[in-house]
Amino acid sequence: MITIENLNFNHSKEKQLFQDLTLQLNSGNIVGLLGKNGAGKSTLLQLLSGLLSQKSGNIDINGFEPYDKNPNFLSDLYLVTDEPYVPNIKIKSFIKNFAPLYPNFDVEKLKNILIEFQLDENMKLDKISYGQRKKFIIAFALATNSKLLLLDEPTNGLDIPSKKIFRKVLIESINEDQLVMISTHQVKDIETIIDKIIVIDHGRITFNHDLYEIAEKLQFKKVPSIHNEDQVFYSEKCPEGYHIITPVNKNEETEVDMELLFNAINNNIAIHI
Amino acid sequence: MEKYFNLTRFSKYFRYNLSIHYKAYFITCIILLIGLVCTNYIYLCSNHEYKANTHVTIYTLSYCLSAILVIGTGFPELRTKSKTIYFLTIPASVFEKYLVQFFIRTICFTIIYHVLFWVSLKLAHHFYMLTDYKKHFAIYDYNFFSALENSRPMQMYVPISLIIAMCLMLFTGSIIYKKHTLFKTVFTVIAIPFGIYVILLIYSYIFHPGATDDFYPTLYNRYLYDGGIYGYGTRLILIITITSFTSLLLIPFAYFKLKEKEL
Repeated sequence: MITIENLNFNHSKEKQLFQDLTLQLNSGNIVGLLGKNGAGKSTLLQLLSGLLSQKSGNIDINGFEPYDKNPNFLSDLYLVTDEPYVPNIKIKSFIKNFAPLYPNFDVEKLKNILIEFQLDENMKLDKISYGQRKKFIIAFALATNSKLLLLDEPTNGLDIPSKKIFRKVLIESINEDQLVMISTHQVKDIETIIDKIIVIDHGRITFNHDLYEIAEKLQFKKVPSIHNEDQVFYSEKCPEGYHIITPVNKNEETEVDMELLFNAINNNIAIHI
Repeated sequence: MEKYFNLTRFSKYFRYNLSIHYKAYFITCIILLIGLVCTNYIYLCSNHEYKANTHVTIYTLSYCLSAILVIGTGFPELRTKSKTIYFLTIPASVFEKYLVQFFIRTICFTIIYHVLFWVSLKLAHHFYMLTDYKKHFAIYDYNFFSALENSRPMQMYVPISLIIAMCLMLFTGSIIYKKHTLFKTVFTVIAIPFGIYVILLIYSYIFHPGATDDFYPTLYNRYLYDGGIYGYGTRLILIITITSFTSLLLIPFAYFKLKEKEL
């Protein structure tokens, strides 16, 4: 689905961001693209959606080069940005006029998601709050049934119940031939829905594993004290004692604590998977 | 070919564009109409004559001013980052996006402007008759080309080619400049002819220092001899050549600038 080979990119007058970046992603995944501020997450999404041109290297998405801006490619891609632009019209007018540009658009699906998000079709897009606008754009993006969905900080501005609904509708809406990339630094918001983690740091991919691989090889526990330090990859103090990452013991699987894992990766801890 | 243009997709995008911007287009038409009515009314009140030459002058000057506002503010989605992202990811080809703006901002605008001018003239005349009927006079039928009806065709092409070149410069400027678009575009529209004039002046001083007078470049105007009569002057042909070449160059240039548009 997505093949990136030896990608080199830098914003003008800035130092190199991506250097020989290589990445392959297949459909049927919800990928969490994690990283600190300025790591290059949004830039990568912008390169994938053809908004920026790479200095060298190849990006291939279903046989298309994004920067060519082929309309057939664009009709199978939806990018939800952190601050999405919406025109000053009613939701129903937006749907009526914009949806026909997406050949696989599912109006019924959109209506159901709008109900879940408690959005009315008669609402004017310029009169609703930032969070509501974000929810509408997420709903619209999901209803396009695009093969590639790029969500940049989708949970920013969403209240706690809306974050829960977002996770629910995302899981329900996505099928096997779609790929969703969620870029965020709010790791907790997406940890229950993603099945692959990619961590970017200073334009380099520092971690790229499926969730099941992580769960098979690592344990995430809360312990009152640390006895055998050699067995602990990473630890963080907490009120109850310590959050720790250890190798799997006796095939006992635990839930992946993504925030702990992310912090470990960011602290350059060698995680062996 | 489908990659560049598809009639169904184009019509969907065109309809979408109208649905998004119809209010702005409508308000522009209203403002334009009010402006034209006021201009024509003021002119009627202060003059005793209103012939074809007069209203063609007002028509042309107002057209140029309106074109600056309408064409110079084309591609409104390219002004901010979030709008640019939205615009560039709309599933229509770059050519279709270009064509929609070109069609609305130049062709539709020119047609609508013509209609609005006609309406404004009639309205201004009507208001004038209500307020100052003593200076009663008829308004002749107006036509964009009527002032030039007695001129030879080549002379008519000069203002037309100048206006077309100006419109295309404004259109290109609206793609190139992100911030202070209108100001930068107008500056460019003034700077390019001024640049040509300065170059001509410099060359005149270099090659014909004796024949050059202050700020007047030496442009020898030779009348072309055509089948027994003297035809058009070389100056006229030079102006038409420069403006036509500029226009032809700007059409693909604007397209490729849009195609290469990045965040």
